[in-house]
Order: sequence, then C-alpha cells, then structure tokens
Amino acid sequence: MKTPLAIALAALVVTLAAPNVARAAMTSSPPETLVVDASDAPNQVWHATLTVPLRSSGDVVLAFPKWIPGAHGPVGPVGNLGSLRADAGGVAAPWTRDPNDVYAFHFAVPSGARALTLHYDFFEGTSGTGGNMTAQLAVLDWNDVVFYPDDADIHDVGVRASLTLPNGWTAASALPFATPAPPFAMPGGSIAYDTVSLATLVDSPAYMGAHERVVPLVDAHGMTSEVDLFGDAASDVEPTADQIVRWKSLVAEADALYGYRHWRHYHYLLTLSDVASGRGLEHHESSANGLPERYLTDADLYASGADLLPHEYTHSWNGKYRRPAGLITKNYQQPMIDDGLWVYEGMTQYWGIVLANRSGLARRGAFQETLAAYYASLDAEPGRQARALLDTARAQGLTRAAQSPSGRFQRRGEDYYIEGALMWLDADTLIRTRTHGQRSLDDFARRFLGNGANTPPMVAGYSRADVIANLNAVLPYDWAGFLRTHVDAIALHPPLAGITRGGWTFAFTSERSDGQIRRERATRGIDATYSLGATIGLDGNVPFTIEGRPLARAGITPGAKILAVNDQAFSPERLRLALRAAQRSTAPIRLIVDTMSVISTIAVDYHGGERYPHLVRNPHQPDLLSAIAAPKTKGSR
Amino acid sequence: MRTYVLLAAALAVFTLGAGPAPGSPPLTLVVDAREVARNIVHVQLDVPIGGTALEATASPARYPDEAAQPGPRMRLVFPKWVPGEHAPANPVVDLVMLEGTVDGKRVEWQRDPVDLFAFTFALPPNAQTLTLHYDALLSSGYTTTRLALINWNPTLLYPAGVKTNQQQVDASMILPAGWDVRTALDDPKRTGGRIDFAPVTIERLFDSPVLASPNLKVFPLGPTAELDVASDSPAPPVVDPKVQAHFTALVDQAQLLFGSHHWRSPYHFLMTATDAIGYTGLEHHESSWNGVDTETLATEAACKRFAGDLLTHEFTHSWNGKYRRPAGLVRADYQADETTDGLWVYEGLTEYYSDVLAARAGFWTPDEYRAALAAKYAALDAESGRMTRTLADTTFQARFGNSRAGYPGARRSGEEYYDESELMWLDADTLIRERTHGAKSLDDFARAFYGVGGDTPPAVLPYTRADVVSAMNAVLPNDWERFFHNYLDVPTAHPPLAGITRGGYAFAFGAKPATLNPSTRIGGNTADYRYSVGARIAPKGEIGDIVAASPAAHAGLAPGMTIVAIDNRRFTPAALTAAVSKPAPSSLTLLVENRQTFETKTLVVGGGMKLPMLERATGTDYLRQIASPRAR
Repeated sequence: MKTPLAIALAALVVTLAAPNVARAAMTSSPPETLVVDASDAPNQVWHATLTVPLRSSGDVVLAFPKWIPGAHGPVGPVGNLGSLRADAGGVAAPWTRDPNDVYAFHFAVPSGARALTLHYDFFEGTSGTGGNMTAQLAVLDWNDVVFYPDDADIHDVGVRASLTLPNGWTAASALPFATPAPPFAMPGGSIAYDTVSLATLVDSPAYMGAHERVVPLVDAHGMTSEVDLFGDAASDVEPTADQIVRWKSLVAEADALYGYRHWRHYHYLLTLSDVASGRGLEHHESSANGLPERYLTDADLYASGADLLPHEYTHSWNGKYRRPAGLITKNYQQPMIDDGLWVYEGMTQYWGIVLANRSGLARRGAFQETLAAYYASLDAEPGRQARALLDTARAQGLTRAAQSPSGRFQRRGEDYYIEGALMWLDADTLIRTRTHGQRSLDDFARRFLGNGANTPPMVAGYSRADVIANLNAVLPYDWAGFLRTHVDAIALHPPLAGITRGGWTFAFTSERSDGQIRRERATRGIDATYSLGATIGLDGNVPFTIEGRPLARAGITPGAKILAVNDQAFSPERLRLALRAAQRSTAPIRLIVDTMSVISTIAVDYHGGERYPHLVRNPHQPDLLSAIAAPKTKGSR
Repeated sequence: MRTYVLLAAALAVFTLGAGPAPGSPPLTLVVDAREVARNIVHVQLDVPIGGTALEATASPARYPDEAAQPGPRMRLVFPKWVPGEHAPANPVVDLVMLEGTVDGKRVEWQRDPVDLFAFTFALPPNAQTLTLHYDALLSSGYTTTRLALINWNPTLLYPAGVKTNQQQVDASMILPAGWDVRTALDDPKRTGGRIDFAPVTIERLFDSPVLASPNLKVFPLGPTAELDVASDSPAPPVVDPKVQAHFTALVDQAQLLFGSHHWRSPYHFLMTATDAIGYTGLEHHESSWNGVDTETLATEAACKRFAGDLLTHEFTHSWNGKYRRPAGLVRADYQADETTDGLWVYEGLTEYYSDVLAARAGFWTPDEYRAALAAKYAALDAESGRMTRTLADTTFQARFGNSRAGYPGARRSGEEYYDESELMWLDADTLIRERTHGAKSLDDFARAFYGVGGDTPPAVLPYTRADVVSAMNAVLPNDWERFFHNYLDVPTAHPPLAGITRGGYAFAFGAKPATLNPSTRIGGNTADYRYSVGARIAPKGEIGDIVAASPAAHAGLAPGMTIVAIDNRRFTPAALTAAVSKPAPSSLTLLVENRQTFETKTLVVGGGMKLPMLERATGTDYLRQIASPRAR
C-alpha cells in the first residue's frame, strides 16, 4: 500500500462493510427497516414491509434497484413488483411512477411525517422450471425487495432487515445477526439481522429451504468458511468426505494463490435442484450458486460443474474487492460501464478453471480439454470478423437479453469470459517462459488481487493503466500493445499462443474427449458444431447453425427439426454413423427436415467426418499447462 | 389538401413525406432478402459523410477506462424505440457482421460504452461515403419458408442527430426468386428480383413494412383499401366473401366515423396467414401488419376470434396513434426516450372503437359486442392488483420487457390500459348520449379530433391530456378532467361499470350465457373458472392465475401449480365443470404438483359455473345504438 499506484487508488477505495465505518455513517440518519415475510415462498411470493425514515415531506422519490452488481446491466426486475401501497403515520401516501424512469416512484407524503412505510409483494410465480423458488427452497436477492432514496449513496443507507421463514425452513447468508443473538437456529420463525449498509445487504443474499446441510470448511485458521447446501430433497445435499476435502482444497489453493483475503467469513451458498435455475452470482463474503439436483451423485454433472464455485469464489477478490472503475457506482440507478469485464470476468474465468484443477474439483486432464473447447468454440464464430473482444464486454447486456439462440455464432457470445481466459493463459505462459519459470501470473494475482493485506470487504478500483503497471511489475513487457491486440482489435482467431507456448497443440480429431462424451451424455444430443456446424438435440431440433458450415450452406434454418438421416428416423447416434459413413463415400448425407411445417429433403455434401477439439502434447516444449494446473499446496489432489 | 395546408400553419404538424432537408443527402439502403426464409437479410448501406453525425476532431475519454477517440469519425445509431412498441426494444443484438469501409478500405468502429445503440466509425481524411455491410437476424420470427413480413427498422443505421422525418433513404430490396411483395411504399420499380423504391424519409420507410411471399394475393376493399394476403399453405390464399364484405364495410364505417382518412389510397391490410406466426400485429399510417392463423380469413366464424383485437384495432390506429399521437410519443428520432402515459387514448380509445367497428362492420353481432364487454369487465374486476396500481401506471407495462413473473392479476400486468380504458370510453360515450338525449355521442369527438384537416396524407398531430379534455368539452361541457383523473390516476375498486348500466344493461354471471365472447384473448368461454373456482386453469390443469379471496385462493392454490387429479381421478376440465355445476358446495381433494413437489389441497366449489354476460335492463338501449352501423 505504499506504491504510487496504491495512493492513486486510495480515492477509489470504498469501505463496504467495515462495521465501525458503516455505523458511523448511519448515525446521521436512522436505518430503513425491512421485514420480509417468506412464508409464501413455496408459492413464489415475497411479502415485504419497508419503513423509510424521512428528511422531508411532499414528493419523496424512492428507487427500486436497476443496475444489479454482477449482472452488470439494468436488469432489476421491477416488473415483478406488485401490491405496492404506502402510508405515513397512518395516512395513505399515494404513489406515481416517474414518467421517464420506471424504477423511480414518487410518494405524496403528508407534512410532518417522520417515516414512510411501504407494503409490497415480489412475485416470481413462473410455471415449470427456472427461477429461484421451488416448493422446498428459495433464494432471496435483497435487491428484489428494497427501495431507497433515489439520490442516496448505497454505502450511507442503513438497513435493518428481518426474515420470516416458512415452517420447518432454515436459512443461511453472510449477513450478521442482530445482537443480542436471536434464536436463529429455530426452524421457521423470524431472523433479525444487524443493521448493515444497503450495499452490504444487497451483497448478502439469503438462501433458505426445508432441506439444508451446512458443511463447515475448517482450515488452518479455524472455521472461516462454509458450504450451505439446499435441495429439493434431503438426499440431494449429502456430500461425500472426498467432495468435502476438495472444497477445503479450494480454500487452501485460493489462499496460496492470492495470499490475502478480503472477507471475514465466507459462505458458498448452493442450491442443488432441477427446478431452480442454475446460477452463479458473486458477492464479497458469499456466492449465490445453483447446480443440478444430482450434482453430488452424478459424475458427469459433478465434472461439468467443477469450476462454478472456484469462479464465484475468485470474484470475492477479482470483481468485488478489485473492481474496474466503470463498475463502481454511487447507487444502483447509476449506469455501469462494462469495458473492464475482460479482467473482471475474463481473469476470473482463468483462475476459476485453474483453481478447479489445482483443488481436484475437476478431473485430471480437464484443464487441457477445457482450453481446447474454449478455443474451438471461439474460433467457429463468424462474428469475430466484425466484433472486437471489448465490444462483447461493453454490450454484454444485449447478449444476455437476446431471446433467440439462432444467431449466437454470428453475434458472438459473452466471449470476454472464455476468450479472456485464453488471453490470460497467453500472458501466464509468456511470463513463465520469459522469466524461465521464476515468475508467473500467480505473482500478478498475489500482487493485484491479494494486494498486500487481509481486509474486510471493500472496493479497490482500477483502470487499464493499473493492470498494465502491475503486469509490468511482474514482467516488463509491452503489455499495452498486448491488450490492444487481444482486447481492442478485430482478431480473426482466438489467442492460441498460451496453448502452444504451454507445450500443447490444438487439433481436431474424430475422437471425442472424455469431457465431450460426458457433455453429450448430459444433453443427449449430438455436438456437430465443428463438422456440420450445429448442435442437434435428441429430438432432431437444430437450435442454431453456423453460417458457412455444411448445414447452413445446405439451407437449413435455425429452429428446423431433422426428421430422418439417410431415410432412417433421426437419432443422434444415426447421425453420428452417417457422418462416419460419408467419410468413406462420395454420396451426400440425406436429411429430411421440417422447417415450420414445410417438409423438405436436403442433401448435405459433407465428407469430413466427426470433428472434436483436442490439445495434443508437443514433446519439444516444456509442459507449462500441466504446471499451471498442478496444486500449490500439499493437501490438494 | 387546402385544409391540410391551413392546419399545418396552425398546429405543430410533423409530416412524414417532407422533401429532403438542405444538406442532407439520402442514405442508400440495399436489403438482400434472398435468404429471408432463413431469418437473415444481408444489408449494404451507403452513408454520405457530413452533417451533425460527423465529429471532426479528437475527443477525450468520457468514461473511466475509455480510450480517447481520434477524429474524424461518424456517429451512427441503430433505432431504439420502434413506433408502436412503446419500449426501447429494437433488437440491436441482431445486428451482426457489421463492417465499415471507405473507398474499399476497412475502417474501425466502436460502440458507445453507455448508449449501446450508437456506433462511431473512424474515418480517413476527406472521406466522402461510408459504406456499411451487415446482416440483420430476423429472430422475431416473422418469416416462414414461404412468406415474410419484413420490417425496415432492424435493417437501418442512420446518422446521429438527423430528424427521421427529414432524412431521406433510397431503399431497395432483393427478393428470393418467384417472390412478390405488397407494401405502402410508392412506385416500386422491379428489375428481376430487385425492387427499387422511390426515395422516402426514414419515418415513412419504417412506417411501410414489406409483405413478401411466392403465394400472395390481393383482395380489393373498395376504392380506398386492399387486403394483401400471404399464405404458406400450398394453395393460393382464400378469403371468404363474407369476410371480405366485412372488411369493405370496416373501411367504409371507419371513414364515416372519423370523417376522414390519413393515407394515400390504397390502405394496405398486410396479412400473414400461417399457423407458424399466429396472432400478432402492428399499426402504421398507410398499412397494418396482421398476423392471423390459416383459418381466420377462410371462414366468417373463425374471423370473429381476431376481429376486434386485431383487424379493426390496427386499422383504427391509422387515425388514433399514427395521425393523432400523444405528445410523449412524438420524437425527432428513434433514440429519444418516449413517455408512454398517453396510451389510455392511443390504445384505450383504439380498443373502444375497434370493438365498436367490429360490430358496425358486421364481424360481430351486437350480442357478441356486448359479450366482449362483459368478458372484459369481469376479467378486470377479478384482478386484485387494481387495489394498488392505477390504470395510468399500467401504461408502463411494455417497458418491463418479458418478465417471467406469474400472478398477472395481482401485478395487474395485462396492459389494462387497453381494456379498462375501453370501458372508461364507453362511460363517456353513454354519458354524452344521455345528457344530449341522443343528439351527440363520442363519435362527434372522434370526428372532430381525428378528422381534423379532412382527408390528408400521413402526418402526425401531437396532443396532451388537456387537448383531449378540451375536445371533449366541445362535444359536451362537463368536468372531463376530473372524469379522466378519477379513472386513471387513483386506484379503483372496480372497472368502469357506468357505461354498461347507462347503456341499458346489467352485468351478471350466468351458468350458460346465450352469447359467448367471440375474442379468444379475453376468455370468458365455457371452461373459464376465474369467476367460480377463482383460477385460470389450462386444459391440462396448469394454473395461470388465482383470484384473491376465491375458493382457489382459500385452497392454497398458486400460479405455476398444476392440478394433477381431482378426487383421485386424473384432471379434466369436464370433471371440474361437473363439480362446480352442482347446486350445493362440495369439497374436492386435489392432487397438485408445485414444481415437482406433490401436495394435496382441499377445494370447496359448487353453486354453478359463473360466466360473464350482460342482461337487458331498463332505459334506452345505447349499446345497440353504439353497435349499429352509421348511415352514409
């Protein structure tokens, strides 16, 4: 903290939850009181009552959070609100919405009123699967149930929250309990939380349900983190001893990598449910995760979810503590600028897969398979001819909101994640090679993310220049040029240098990797992305096609359904056999296709066979990839 | 035209077809639609360099971490607010493969870090023309293998700062072999598969979508309109002569009502008749797009389902919404934020007259018109959200995007400014009729407000709530300001009922109404359980919504649940109807699935089905008068 850089950063450091600071800020104005009744959570409703202290009467403007941390976009679900009414001192306070801002509510407050009380519901209530609430569990993102003065700084607004659970349910979150401690272990009943800043409240989602399993992760310092599992059935939340060891290894490996922590007690909040949606949302002292019901019992699902917790955990350092300046805002109404996501998400993606491998959460060899899959997927995008990596970050909100998967490869995806990871692999191997193994990107992580001291949650902002300065401190190099090439310019191919410098060669072969087999077993379709230019579902549905690849060239439209392959009823296996047969023949593959009820026969003149991405070891180069994936602590693997 | 010119001097009139503004040479747009059946069009756009969009010098970074931008560069924007959608929803994410060149050399572009619809292109010195190539993915799904409704708004970028009712575009379209088009655009010149349109403003271009198909047929509707039907069935499009007669009557009745029209003949009803797209539509000045299924135009009975909600509705918008438009929806370009608080007129009065015209044109019988009113009243009255959310606040609904939330009644999320405003306007209409002893009606307001200027080409005349109040006062002096305020700005326990009662009818529930609501959208059909059980229940038992304080609510049912069985028998609507129809209450044991968890609930129902209807009461039968065609 003595470098010129650190002094420059001091202005941008915002304390989030250091209790003494937060309390000092709150003495000037009393906190909001938020009472959330979750007893209807199984019916997809939160009931909320919020009391807001007033400094004035007349037109009081309260805001519902719009720009949501971690989502990086204006996606606060204001349309899910309902039943909103307000009163002040027993007198109704009618509201109107601001004509220019659907997130701003004007309340007509009678003169002399000291507080405004709002009653409202937040409805989820979708049919089928998805969402955050099932009959057995629920995830409360506090930003869905809170309002605040529209011009306030979210670090200055105090909130004293309480939560009433359905009978038999328990809850977990990073929020501190009110003192004296309430009987929070009691199933059902109410939990009273301590007064925290609005920023900390929104940073601390509550998981709750009928089937909770708490797994303490005791480390060298005593228990400082825990996994809180919630399932639709008790049998879904029983990790094996070996699985618990891997979680502990994750904590140890992250400590070894970052050197210092910026949380006091960390909660891995995790639903295991096929009804609730898969999710991963980072916070300072917790992460809000969702994985399939059989994650702990199905080896394929366990493998495919390996990097979720390492990724979200890494965000506690990279994204929450160290944060691009454009994502540091005064409150949730102020727009965010997403330009820095190639660090925020891109480097997190990199450390996520590295830590998954170092901790043993991922299978041996998964690191190379993952990199091969990233490279192939990115390289197949025609859209990269037109859009730079920076634009995928800048416009990520558009990509996330896109309704249809059909144009995915022409649009490009949220590539700042996985292309960011390949770029940081390039940087890592560059540092390792140039310093003859003396240094690596680990040194950058320790320096930039560890930042010299354990701290409670706080935000340390940075600019691109800060990233470059810290990289130069590890290895003097033209990092500005490096980033311009990878981030700002059109790049016809994704970064390959990290793979080749790491001692491996990218290749397509007709053999499926272990991971590929597991993925196809999970989706039950066939991944013909690199042969026909499409992924085809179990029932023959073609959700997207890649322009210029054989199916698109043959005129097949996304949304079409393949009925038959060489005049036999479609099955993924029959298409696989047809691909193999066409390799030994000059006859095209004959498909019968249903395109919006019009049936046509289409000849696909493709003879390249199956193609799957792989990394192949190059014995003439040192194996840096395996070195990167190897544990740093003795306890792992 | 004489009155039109006078009008232009007197009011703020925004014309769509004004000549090119000085110093603003046309954009040249070529949309290659040969792959439109694959939901993709390839576009070339030539932009003359200059004007307000040219930023000549370097500018410093405006945001954290943004690099300074060198000059000169050109700022182009992708339209954000598409007219009629009432939300900033034009799909910029479907603008792909964007590449700029100047004199054949690639130039770089950057998106604005905050306004994701704006792009700046770095230019070499002295560049004359910026050429863009890009693809537009038509992922909204308005195409099938044999027809397409091609909107221009996803295919055009335009220079920042130009006025969209002044900037000209030379537009061309290249079609698949054998395809034909219909559109309100003037004077298309066809050369092989290529059509060159006469230069128009951006506003008129966007107002004129193109219906394209190899299977397209034109049905004339008198001297001022035509029905353009594209179908993806193998046979040529068919229109029942009775349906065609109703359309012809509609064109006639609407012009009698509004005393004018504001298009250059013919008005085009652009119809996509296919089950793959189905029921949807969008209004324009000189045309409307109407998505219907394969049966709608083929039989008179099937046509009733969409008549009031779609066919007469989008047509009415040519007057109400396009020609006369709330001031909050009138903007210099498509980037400026709209305010949507005028939709209680734009959509609400359109909904009122679209149902009236459905009856006057003969799509509906007067009985069916009243059944539609009854169904709307009942549906609105069952929504608990009306106790806390004002009608005015529902006009923001389109801004919320595709919320996945359930509980539509509690959230009042059904765009109530359509149907509830209709009942408010019915109150106004009957009030005028009663107070003037039948001498005047809301039709006089419509004629004065929408017929202003007589017959005109497309133009936009903005108005405020005060303008509506003053025009209403010109028909019948009354405290209209309070009248509207009480319905719009405060939560009301019930929807407007006065129009129905003053119109000579009483609202009631009956087990078997003589006439069912013809519109599929509103419900109120034989298997509608909202008013008996208190739940919207799909044929397979899925619960779409719950009415507060109803038997379903007392049973603990919630949206998203599925009723699997009733008294250990698999759920069928017939079984539920039978139980509800028993005279005395009985207790049913429901097996319910709540997101894969099975639960047992007890539901007490009986006393008969309750379906909404209007019964003739005393007094003048204004509803019959309102539903009767106007005489020439």
